Amino acid sequence: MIENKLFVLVMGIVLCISLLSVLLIYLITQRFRETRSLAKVEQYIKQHNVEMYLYLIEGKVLSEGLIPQTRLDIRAIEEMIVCYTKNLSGEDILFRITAYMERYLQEHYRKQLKSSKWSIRINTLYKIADFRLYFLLDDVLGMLNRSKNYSRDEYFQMYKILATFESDELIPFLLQPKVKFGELEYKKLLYYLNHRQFDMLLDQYESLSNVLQRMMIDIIGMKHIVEFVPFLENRLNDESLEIRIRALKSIAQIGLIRDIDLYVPFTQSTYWEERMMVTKLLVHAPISQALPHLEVLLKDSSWWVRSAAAKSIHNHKKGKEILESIMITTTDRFAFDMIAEVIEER
Amino acid sequence: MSKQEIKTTSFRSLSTIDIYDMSFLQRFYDVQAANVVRSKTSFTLVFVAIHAVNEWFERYGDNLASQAFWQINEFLSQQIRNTDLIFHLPKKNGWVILMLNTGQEEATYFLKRIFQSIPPLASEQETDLPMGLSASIVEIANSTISYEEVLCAGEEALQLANVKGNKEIQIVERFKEPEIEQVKVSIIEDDKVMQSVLLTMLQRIEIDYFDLDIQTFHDGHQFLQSFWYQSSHTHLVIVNDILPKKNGIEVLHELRSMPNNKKYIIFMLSKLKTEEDMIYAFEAGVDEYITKPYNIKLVAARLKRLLGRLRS
Repeated sequence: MIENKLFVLVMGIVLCISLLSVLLIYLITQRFRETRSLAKVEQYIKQHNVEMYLYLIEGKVLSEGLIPQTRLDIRAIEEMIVCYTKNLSGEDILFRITAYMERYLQEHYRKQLKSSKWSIRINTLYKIADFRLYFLLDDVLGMLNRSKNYSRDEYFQMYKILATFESDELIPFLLQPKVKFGELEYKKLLYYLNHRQFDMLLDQYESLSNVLQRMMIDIIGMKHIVEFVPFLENRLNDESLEIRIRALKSIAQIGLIRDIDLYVPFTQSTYWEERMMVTKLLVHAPISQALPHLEVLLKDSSWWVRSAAAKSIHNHKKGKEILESIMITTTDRFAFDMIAEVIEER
Repeated sequence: MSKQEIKTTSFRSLSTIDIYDMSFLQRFYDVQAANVVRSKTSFTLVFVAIHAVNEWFERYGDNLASQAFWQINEFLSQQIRNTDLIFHLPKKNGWVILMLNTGQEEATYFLKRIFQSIPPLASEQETDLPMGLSASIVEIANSTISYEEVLCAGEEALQLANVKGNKEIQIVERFKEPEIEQVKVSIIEDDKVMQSVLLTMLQRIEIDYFDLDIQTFHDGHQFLQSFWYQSSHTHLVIVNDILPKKNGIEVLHELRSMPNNKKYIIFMLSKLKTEEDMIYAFEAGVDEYITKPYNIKLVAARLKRLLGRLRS
C-alpha cells in the first residue's frame, strides 16, 4: 500500500518535472527565437535606414531593398516608420508613408484585420489611423456592418478611423452606436468632425444620446464655432440643468453675446453653477450693460460666484478702478473681501 | 632717379593719419592672415595709384606730378576709416590700404565712393589731364597665402586697371576662397533609427568650407566618457533631452561649464513643448530647441544658417 502511494508520488514528481522541463525548453526556445528575430529586425533597420531616409525625406525612388519579403521585414519597416511618424513632421513624409503602405502592405493589413487575435486587430486599427491608410476604410466599414461582435476598444478605434477620414458613414453609427462610449471617447470622436458632418449631427440633435448631446455642446465651445451660437442659445431653455450650464460655458468660451437679455435671468438662478457661468460670460458684454448685474453678483451667497464676478469686472479695461470704487461704497463684507482678494492676486 | 619716383622733398603730408612705410605692411599682413582662421573673417588690401601717372610726368614735369601725389595722399588719408591702415607703395607709385574685417564687396563700395570725390589739382599751372585714380582689390580669406603672392597680384592688377582707364577697379579673386574648417559633430540619441536619420541628414548636407567630422553616441554618459568632445574645434552637438544615462540637460550643463564652452553649438531635441521647458533650456545654454515632431529639412536649414554665420 505504502509502496503504491510512494510510486504514485514519485510518478507525480517525475511528471511535474517533465512538464516543467518541457515548459522551460519551450520558453527558452521562444526566447531564443525572439532574440534572433530582434537581431534580424535590427540588422534590417541598420541595412535599410539610409534607403528609407532617401525615400521618405528626399523623395528618391524606393529602393528594392525596402520591398518587404518576410514577416520580419514588415516588422522592421513598421518600426522605422513608427519612429519617423513619432519624431518627424511633414506632409510629404506622411504622404509617402501612405503610398508605400498602399503598395506593399495593403494585403498584409487586410489579413490582419481578419485575424482571430484581438491584439493583432486592434494594432492594425491603430495603424490605419496613424498612417492614414484610407484604402482600408471599406474594410473597416465592413467590420462595423458585420454581425460579429468586437471589443469596445476596437469599436472606438473603428469610429475614430471614420472620423479621421471624415466619412459620412460615421453619423448613423453615432446615432445608433454599437457600444456605449464615455464622455471622453465622444469628445475625441467629435473633435475630428468637419463643419458639414457637425451640421448633419446637429440636425439629429434631439435623437442623440444625452452624453453625445452634452459633448456636442462642449465641442462647439472648445472649437470656438461661432456659427453655432444660435444653437447654444436655444439650449439655454433646455430642461436639463447640465445642458444649460454647458451651453453657458461654451458661449463664454466663444465670447459672443448677441443679446444680453437672454442671460439676465440666469443671474437670479437658484443654482449657483448657472449664476457662476453667466458671471464668467458677462465679461464679454459691454461694461455699462454688465456692471449692474455683476455688482449684484458680487454680493452672491456663493464664494465661486462672488469670485467670478470680481474677476469679470477686473478683466475690463477700467476694472481695477471700478472695483476700488465699489470697495469704498459697499457695505457688504463678503463683496469687500472678495474685491480685496482679487485686486491683491492680480 | 626715374620719372615715376616722385620727389618728396618739396611737399609734406598734411594728414593727421599716419601713412606707413611698406616695411610695416608685411608685419600687419602676417598678423591679419593668422587671425583669419580664428576670426573666420577676411581682410582686404586695396591698391590705389594715380591714373596715367607717366603722362603727368611727361607733360607737366616732376613738381606738378609730386604735387598731385601729395594731394591724393592727403585725400586718401581723410577718406579711410578708423580701422583702416594706409601704406606707400615702393618708390611712392601709389598706396596700399589694409581694410580689416572687410570683404571685396565692401572695398568696392569704398572705392566707388572715393572715386566720386577725387579733388581737382590745386595748382596755378593749367592742366588738361583730369586727376584720376585706378585701383585693384585683393580679398584674403585664407591664412596660407603669402604676403609676396598678394603684393605681386595686387600690383599686377593695379597696372592692368591703370591701362584700362580712369576709375577702373581690378579685382583679384583667387585669394578669397577660405580654408576648409573641420567641425566636430556629435549626435547623442538613443534611438537607432533617429540616430541614423540625423547622421544621414548631416552627411548629405552641403555647407561651404566646412568639413563635418561626425560621431554618434547612445547617451550622455558615453559622450562625456569619450575624449571626443575635448578639443579646440568648433563642435556641433545634437542631443536628445531624454537619454538612458546622463540626459541632455546634464550634457548641456557639463559643456557649458567648460572654460572654452563657446565653441559648442548645441541643438536640443525634445518632446516637451511648454514655454517653461524651453526657457529653462535656453537659460541653461542651448542654441536651438527643437520640439518633436520636427521637420528634418528645417533642422538642416537652421544648422546651415548657424554654421554659415560663423563665416560672416
